[in-house]
Amino acid sequence: MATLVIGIGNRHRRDDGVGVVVTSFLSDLDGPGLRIISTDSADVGLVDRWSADDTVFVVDAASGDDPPGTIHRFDATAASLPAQMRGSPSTHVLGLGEAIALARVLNRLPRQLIVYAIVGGDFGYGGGLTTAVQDAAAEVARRIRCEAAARLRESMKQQREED
Amino acid sequence: MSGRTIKVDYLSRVEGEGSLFVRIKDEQVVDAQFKIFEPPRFFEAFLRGRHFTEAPDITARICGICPVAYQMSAVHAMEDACGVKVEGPLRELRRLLYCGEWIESHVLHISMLHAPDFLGYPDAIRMAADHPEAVQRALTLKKIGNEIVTVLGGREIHPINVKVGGFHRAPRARELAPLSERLKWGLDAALETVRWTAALEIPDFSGDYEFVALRHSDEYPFNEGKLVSDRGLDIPSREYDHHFVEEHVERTHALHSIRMGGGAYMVGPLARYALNFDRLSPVAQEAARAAGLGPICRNPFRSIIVRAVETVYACDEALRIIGDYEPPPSPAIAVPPRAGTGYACTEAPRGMLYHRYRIDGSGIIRDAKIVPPTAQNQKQIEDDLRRLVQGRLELPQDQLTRQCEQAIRNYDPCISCATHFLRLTIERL
Repeated sequence: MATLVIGIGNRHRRDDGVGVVVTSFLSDLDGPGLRIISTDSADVGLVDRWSADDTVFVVDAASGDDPPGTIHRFDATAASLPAQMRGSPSTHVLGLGEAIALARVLNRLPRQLIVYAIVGGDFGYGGGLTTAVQDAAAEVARRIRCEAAARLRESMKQQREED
Repeated sequence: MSGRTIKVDYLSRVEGEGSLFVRIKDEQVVDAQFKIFEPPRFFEAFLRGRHFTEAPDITARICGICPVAYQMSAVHAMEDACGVKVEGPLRELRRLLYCGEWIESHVLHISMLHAPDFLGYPDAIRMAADHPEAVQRALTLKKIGNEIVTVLGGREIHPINVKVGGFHRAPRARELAPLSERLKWGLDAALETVRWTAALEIPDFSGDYEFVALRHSDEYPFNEGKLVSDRGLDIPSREYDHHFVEEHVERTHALHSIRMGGGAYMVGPLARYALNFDRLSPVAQEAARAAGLGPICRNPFRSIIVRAVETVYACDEALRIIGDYEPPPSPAIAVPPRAGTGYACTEAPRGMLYHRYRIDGSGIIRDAKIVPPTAQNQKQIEDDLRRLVQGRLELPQDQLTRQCEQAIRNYDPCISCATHFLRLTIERL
């Protein structure tokens, strides 16, 4: 059983890179029991990133009517992502929603799959996040630290009980 | 006079964006246009003034599906310009890298993009619900292709380890060894994929195509060979411009390629297979025969089977290369620049890819020409659609539309190499 944090995004398209920025905030956690993965797209290979008993956090940018920096949290193991998150923003790769849908159909979801979607304000060319999204990235990193630590404690407790 | 119009706003399961328009008048197809309206990307323009060593990394960015093809055509063309030939283990590593890309690309197209057409599903996700084993097999097989590209290229998309003269770093034998176990599974999975595709219901359709592909003296072509066709073409890559011409067609931003003094021609798996069946490894030949393919296949809908056969070959060839691998003494050989023009064709998964560069004595690129396979197939795609629709006018509109989309996907169009979004309109007047 492991915990994975997967950050998705393109750091050269401003706020699109927020998922990767979050994983950079968490790089100190990278180790045998907690893996940090950065990727520029959520293609079909996402299904093979995790195992059935893993806990997975995925962080990606989102667009929408909410103010930039708004944080949405979804438990994708419990239900499909909202309809507006299921399509791919690109004609070149599957989107996160499609990759998760494929995992669900193939019965390849991990034990728990939490998706953090951070609404961006600027997806233009260039590096760096807008201020509100930068703050949201730090907040999501903090939340994942807390959640991952809680899951680690829970897992250790389970292990002790099994022993 | 009778008429009706069919519109498909989005053709999914192709890489990139474009559109298609078919007009039928008095039960005759009078127009078939494959429109590519991607904005100009200026790759050939911004290569000018850059150093010749930058071409592989710049051109790799043309495509996220077949970056290896762009890198291979670029390095071979630059080495041709500089009078250098890469041999031995470095040449073998280039073939291995190409194996990885073929596996990635072919498997993605076969199982995720094209198979839903044959089985009547709108997408791979809904197909996976009824065919989970086939989709899972494809995902694992694709991952093996990704792993080859990662080990050799540094990462699975837009690899960064390729350079003119070889590689920035050559892998140790022990880094390649784990791939062998994976590839043994992959070979079996590819053989199963051939059987799976051979069982699909294939539309009855064929064409009198001129097949164009590389042909090498003793191997199935990736990086090298003469450019041949089944109508007598037999030339080195450097004579490409004497036999092929690009035409601007108003409806498309990608130039149409035709044979000089001739018409459309086909590049890609059917062409490679027809011109090189005898160069396939025995296991791939046997798989093709068992699937009911003769040495030449002229039904483009059967390209899904040919891609599976080529995936078998790529796994088999990768196993051979890894088994024989002796690390090179140096990861690259020196390629001092000299003024001249270099030419190269290599075989991208979806067909032959031509690069030509003129560089000066200090290695600065003065001129570049890149002809991607999808641009070369454009005219053939239009011809296929014209004949397909003409022969199936009695079909209900939705069925005819689906077959048109399926026919376009026969070419695994990498539209983003030259295109954007595909919109299909069939207009009956």
